[in-house]
Amino acid sequence: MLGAAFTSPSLIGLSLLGTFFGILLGALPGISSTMALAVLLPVSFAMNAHQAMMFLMGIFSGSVYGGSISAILINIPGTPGAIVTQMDGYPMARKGRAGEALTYALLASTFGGIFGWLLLITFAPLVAAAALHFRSPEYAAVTVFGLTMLAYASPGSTFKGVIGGIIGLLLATVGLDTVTDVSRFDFGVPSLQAGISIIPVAVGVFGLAEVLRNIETGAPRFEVIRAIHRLLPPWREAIRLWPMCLRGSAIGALVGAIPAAGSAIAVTVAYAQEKRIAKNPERFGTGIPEGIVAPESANNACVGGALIPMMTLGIPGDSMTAVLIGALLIHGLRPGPALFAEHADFVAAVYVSLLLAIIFTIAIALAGIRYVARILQAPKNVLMTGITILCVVGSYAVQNSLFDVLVMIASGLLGFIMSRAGMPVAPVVFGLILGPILEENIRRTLIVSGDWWVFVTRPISLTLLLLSLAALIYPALRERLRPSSR
Amino acid sequence: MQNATSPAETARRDLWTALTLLAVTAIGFASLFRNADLSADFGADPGPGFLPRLLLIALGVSALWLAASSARQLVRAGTWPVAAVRPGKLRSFILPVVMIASLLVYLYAMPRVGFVPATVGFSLLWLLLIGIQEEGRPDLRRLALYLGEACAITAVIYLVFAKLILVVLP
Repeated sequence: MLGAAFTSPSLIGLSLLGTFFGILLGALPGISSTMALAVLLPVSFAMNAHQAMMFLMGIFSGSVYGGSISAILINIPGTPGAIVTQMDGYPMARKGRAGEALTYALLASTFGGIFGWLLLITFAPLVAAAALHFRSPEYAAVTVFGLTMLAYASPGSTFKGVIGGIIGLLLATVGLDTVTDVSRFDFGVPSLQAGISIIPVAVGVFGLAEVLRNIETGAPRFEVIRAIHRLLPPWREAIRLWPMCLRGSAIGALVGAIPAAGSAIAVTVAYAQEKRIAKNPERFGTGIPEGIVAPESANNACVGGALIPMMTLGIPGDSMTAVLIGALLIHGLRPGPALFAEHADFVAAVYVSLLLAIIFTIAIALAGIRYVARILQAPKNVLMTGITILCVVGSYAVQNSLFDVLVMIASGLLGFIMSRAGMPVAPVVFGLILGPILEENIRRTLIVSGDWWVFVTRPISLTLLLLSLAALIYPALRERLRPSSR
Repeated sequence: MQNATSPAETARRDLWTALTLLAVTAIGFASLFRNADLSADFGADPGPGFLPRLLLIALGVSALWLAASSARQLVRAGTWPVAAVRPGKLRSFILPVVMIASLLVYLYAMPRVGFVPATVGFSLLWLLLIGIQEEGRPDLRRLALYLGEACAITAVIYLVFAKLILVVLP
């Protein structure tokens, strides 16, 4: 696979295409990395698994960097991971150093991406080997851990994140039970007996819901800094920043490896850490390179980190890997330790696709970064209309079913209502993905052992359940112990 | 993204959320109780009704907790009973509601009139509506431009999905 990837024109072409679209869509405000991945995912249906991974990893990696472009040029992060980059990126651009800011972001992204990639290829096989010893109780406990971590890490309250997860788990129970063939929650609708497909829900929640939010607010036009003069920063200046890249990358990769933690947490922690240890912390926020390289390296290292729990345990590392799991399932592959044993060539494809995407990101960005400013001015009506139709056609393309489009529309409405209610939407998709795994493993455990105590007598299962409990209780405890602000 | 700012507004929003979740819980339980197959004996297997019941109980309890805490906040803020949503806020929902309605019409029309005409019509509508939202007023001089853009969007998506990916579109 390694040799084929680097010599096959189709695989290289798909990686290049995916990376290009990823950078483009990630740079556009209002289109998150997850949305870009969800909306373009159906394009990969006609490809085989290796081709699909080349294309999708390109979008994944490219969009993560792309978010920093709009953060720097228009002070609006294109993706959640770029929310901190704008704090120093935009002020630097306003000083006439937009090109340097973009290049600092690019170099840090590349460093972080390679760091995350090295972590992935080193530790994923080890985690997968350990997970081969998991039995049903451990798998059930891991899914509970993943869901509670998502609720804990989601923006807003943990409590509302838990509610979102419950909604997702309930959606996963719709349709025929795989063990007994009893139909649940079909309300007399034959199409519901097949269950609710992940892709239409992901497209609706991450794609259509975003469109609804965009057209609700009618946000005013933004000003783009078009003048991109000098691209390359002074080399001594760039080299001086490598310890920050290393620290940011380490934080990003570790946070990314925690199920559901996500890049927003990683970049915030990395930025805060650099500011804390800096000699002149008051300079952060004024447009200094340190304020860009730390979060950007963390942001891209998160990609490799997030792939570890996804591939080894089948637990999404963040919302983007949740969409990737949907892609794997479409191609008949189930993420988990068995993937490493039975489909080692596919695992190699993932490693190669990520590395190629990192290489192509730097190549495309250096070649075309000056032209991106023009694309940021794309008319909102064209963008939103095109994305909406992509959502419709993409959902239809999963099973050539108009019912899936209806599911997508309902999911989009659900995602929109949930966001207006202050509830995070990612737990719904996580619950939908993890629900079948959770139920299957709980029931299998009880059938085999006939006893609930087995979940707490097995050490790994007990540890994961205790960590889950801690993640649920800690926010409430912290709130109660916090001194009154009045 | 978050429009509600005051604690009272947040509490009011949470109360409506809680009531909606309680309604969903009730519908879920009604569906389970009407499903006689779920009451069968499955031996050591807790059965297909186990997880749905557990989840609905969790959802119901969470909704009651949310309702109680938001009601308490509203009473403290002195805004009980729940005030109506401000008209200004309702206006912001118009386009999203129209989008959902138009998507359902689009879905209905697609197999009947064909993908291309339905998509051109849908695209034209939204290019116009979002264009009006951005400009603040309709500009009929741009109608020809919007029609061209609608045809271009349809053509690109048709070529990618029908010709490249070989999806059989309605």
